[in-house]
Amino acid sequence: MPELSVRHLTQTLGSTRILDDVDFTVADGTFTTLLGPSGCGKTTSLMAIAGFHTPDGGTIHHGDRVLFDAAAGHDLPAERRALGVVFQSYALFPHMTVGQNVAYPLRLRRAGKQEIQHRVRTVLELVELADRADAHPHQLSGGQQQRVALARALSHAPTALLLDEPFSNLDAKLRERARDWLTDLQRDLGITTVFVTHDQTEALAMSDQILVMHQGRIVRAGTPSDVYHHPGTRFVAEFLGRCNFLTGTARKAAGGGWQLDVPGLPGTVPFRADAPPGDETVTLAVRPEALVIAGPEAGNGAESAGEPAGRPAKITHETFLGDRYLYSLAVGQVALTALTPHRLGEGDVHVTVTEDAASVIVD
Amino acid sequence: MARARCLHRCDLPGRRWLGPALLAPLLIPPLGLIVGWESLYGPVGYLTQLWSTNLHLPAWNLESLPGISVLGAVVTLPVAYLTCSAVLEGGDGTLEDAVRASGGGNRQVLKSVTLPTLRSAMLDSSLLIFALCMEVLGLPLFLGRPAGIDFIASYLYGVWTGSATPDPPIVSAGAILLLLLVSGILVVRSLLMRHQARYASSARATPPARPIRLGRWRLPLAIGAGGFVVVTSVIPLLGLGLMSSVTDLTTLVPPWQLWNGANWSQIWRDPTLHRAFTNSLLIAAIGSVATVALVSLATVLAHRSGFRLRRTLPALLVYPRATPGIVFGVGFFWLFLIVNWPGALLRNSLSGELLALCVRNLTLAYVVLAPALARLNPELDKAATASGAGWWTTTRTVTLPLLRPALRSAMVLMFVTLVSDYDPVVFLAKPDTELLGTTMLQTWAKGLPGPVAALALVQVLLVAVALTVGFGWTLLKKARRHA
Ligand SMILES: Nc1ncnc2c1ncn2[C@@H]1O[C@H](COP(=O)(O)OP(=O)(O)O)[C@@H](O)[C@H]1O
Ligand SMILES: [Mg+2]
Repeated sequence: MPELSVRHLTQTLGSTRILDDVDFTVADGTFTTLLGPSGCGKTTSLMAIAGFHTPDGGTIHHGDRVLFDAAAGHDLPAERRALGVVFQSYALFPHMTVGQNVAYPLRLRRAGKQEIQHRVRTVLELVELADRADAHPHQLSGGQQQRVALARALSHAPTALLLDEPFSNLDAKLRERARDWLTDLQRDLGITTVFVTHDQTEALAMSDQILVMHQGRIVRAGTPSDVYHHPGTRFVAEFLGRCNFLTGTARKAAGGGWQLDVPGLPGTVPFRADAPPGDETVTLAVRPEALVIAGPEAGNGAESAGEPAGRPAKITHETFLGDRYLYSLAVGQVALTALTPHRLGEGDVHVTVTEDAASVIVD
Repeated sequence: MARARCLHRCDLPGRRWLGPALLAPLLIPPLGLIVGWESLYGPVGYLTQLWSTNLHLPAWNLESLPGISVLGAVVTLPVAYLTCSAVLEGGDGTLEDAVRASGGGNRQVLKSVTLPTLRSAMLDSSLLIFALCMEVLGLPLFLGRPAGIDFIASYLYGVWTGSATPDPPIVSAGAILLLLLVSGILVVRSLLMRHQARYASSARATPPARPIRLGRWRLPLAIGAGGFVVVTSVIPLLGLGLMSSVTDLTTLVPPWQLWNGANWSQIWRDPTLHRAFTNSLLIAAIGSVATVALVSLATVLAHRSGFRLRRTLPALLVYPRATPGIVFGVGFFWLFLIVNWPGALLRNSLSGELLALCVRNLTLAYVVLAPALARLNPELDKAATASGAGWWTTTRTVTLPLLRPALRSAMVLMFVTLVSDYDPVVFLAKPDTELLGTTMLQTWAKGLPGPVAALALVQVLLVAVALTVGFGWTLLKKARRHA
């Protein structure tokens, strides 16, 4: 299936830039997520691809088809783009049954009766709703409605699938299941997919590529683990989960790496940098789960050679999260948060920041 | 003077949620209602006579400004009711439940959900009613004339019919004044309606609204609404029936001694009256279907397309009804006269009247359809388009089917209006092409209230049939679904 390439989309409404040079490529058969806070331009970008929104500038290509080219004045009408679109409200036609909803794109394409029947059954089986073909949308649960919307978007075998926050109306448990299920389906079909969400867990769990948007711009693009571990900016780091920020002055270390002196924090923090960070202050992002914590009970264990490694720290607060524990720590005069899989005992702990844990960000 | 009267009337729409009982005034076309009121509550009316002569109590005067205002309110109520019921019928029940869940009572539900979502409908119907009052012809003609009360419309009508030369300058000047006033109202409307999207709910598949539990207010409200309907509609309707079947309605002789079918046989025998009936029926039948078909397309075009003129269309659609009918009549009269072809075909023919009446009343269809359309989730259209449907296919397969209840309301409203409307055609109707309304005006002017009452009852019957067919069908379908 062809790739989708979006080049330099811009849109100004009044004095605000809703889209600011939005530029990305969704490789053939991959799953790309547009992630960002509400109002950052995700829906606008997606609807520009779908053909419901005309940007001021830029181009959109799907394989060798030109969907949109502002300079050439080319704007393929939405109904001829032949993409599959799932809307946030699902937009199921309330006056049609589930079967009729799914058959709708096929009927428009004047498919034969037999073919429509067969295809509707196949697609409804795919979304596990074959037995509800005669129900009306309002008789279905939210999760089922969402799957019907997906079935309708897929029924005419589109070459790309666009989804606008399809899980936002589902409860957490259902959302998790729908997530796995959609990912599997997408892999099985190998369909090029653009997915819009404001939920970072969804984005991290499902995507081949994440595009983080902020105020109409794509501020970070990459694989989920890349974006998570090397956010690049404070905004991305915070948007993707809890994060510690350490600001200080950098100096070169002996082994080719760097060391950061953080005021108030005993010792230095090692980090790697592709380019020399320069003389100015440097900020590092450190994920709470990347901190290595040595609890008091570890002291008389295997490494009993006196003091355990790392800086001494005080636990100021403990939060039980179910599968993990979240700690607020005071290390010198610096406050850090840490996540550990098991509970730390009473008393002081020792914190180590490894070289892999820290990544440089710009504010 | 006229304006105060109008404001008085506009107060009323706020109370229209009292209940479906309010549909009853719809049963009686305005002229019939006026004749019915006049025959009972008028200065020489039956009930007034009973009240003052027989009981020696102070009587009211219907042929006065307050009297006309009260009747005006009753006459225009159906417009407001139909407009809002179309909106409420497609209502999102969860919105109201949301208020209840937040701890709000009925008052809160009304205040924070029902009334705001009705806002655009209320605004539209208020302005319509306002415009209606500005130009209503029958009221001053029937009630104001004897007391020497003239309104702009009746004054212009009088000048026109009394003048030797057609279209004296004063009529045109008055017409333009009316036009300017109404245009001002429309500008206000468009300013107020700028944020239409705000009042559209996200129409996911939601359960319909539950009826509001009135609790201890049930009985008083029901009695109030019932009493209102009885006094304003049922009794005048009976009066109408009485008047159409007796030779003379007076308290001096019991009515059953004057029982007589003369008025009815006259309708059947007199070719003019007979023709008025068939003409009106024809116009109402063709006009309602054609207008709703056209207006529904225009409405969808105006609100759901990239059509170049889509911003001006809503104003265009509201304008005709806001234009005073009598002004409209003058306009069409000259239009048919000046434009040789097809003016010559339309002048003096039923199709010309059909055109004038339909163009003038298409606003009513729009007013019912536009709010209903505004409540449709725009993502539904987009979903159809994304599936590969062009604009026309989307409209045909998704938008119009979802508008079905509103389309039915609009059709009934158009039929009812076309059966009883008359002011745009008072200058167009010729022998052969007279309608029920114009014939009633002329017959009343001749001082023959009996046949007028009979004709009014004919209108009532036509309206009743339209309502039964239109809404009875809906009820039947609902009942079947519940079974
Ligand atoms: N019709 C519109 N008129 C003006 N501004 C709009 C319109 N639609 C969207 N916007 C603005 O564009 C920005 C992006 O909106 P959207 O793409 O819907 O954001 P989201 O990322 O939440 O999907 C928002 O700041 C919004 O205010
Ligand atoms: Mg959005």
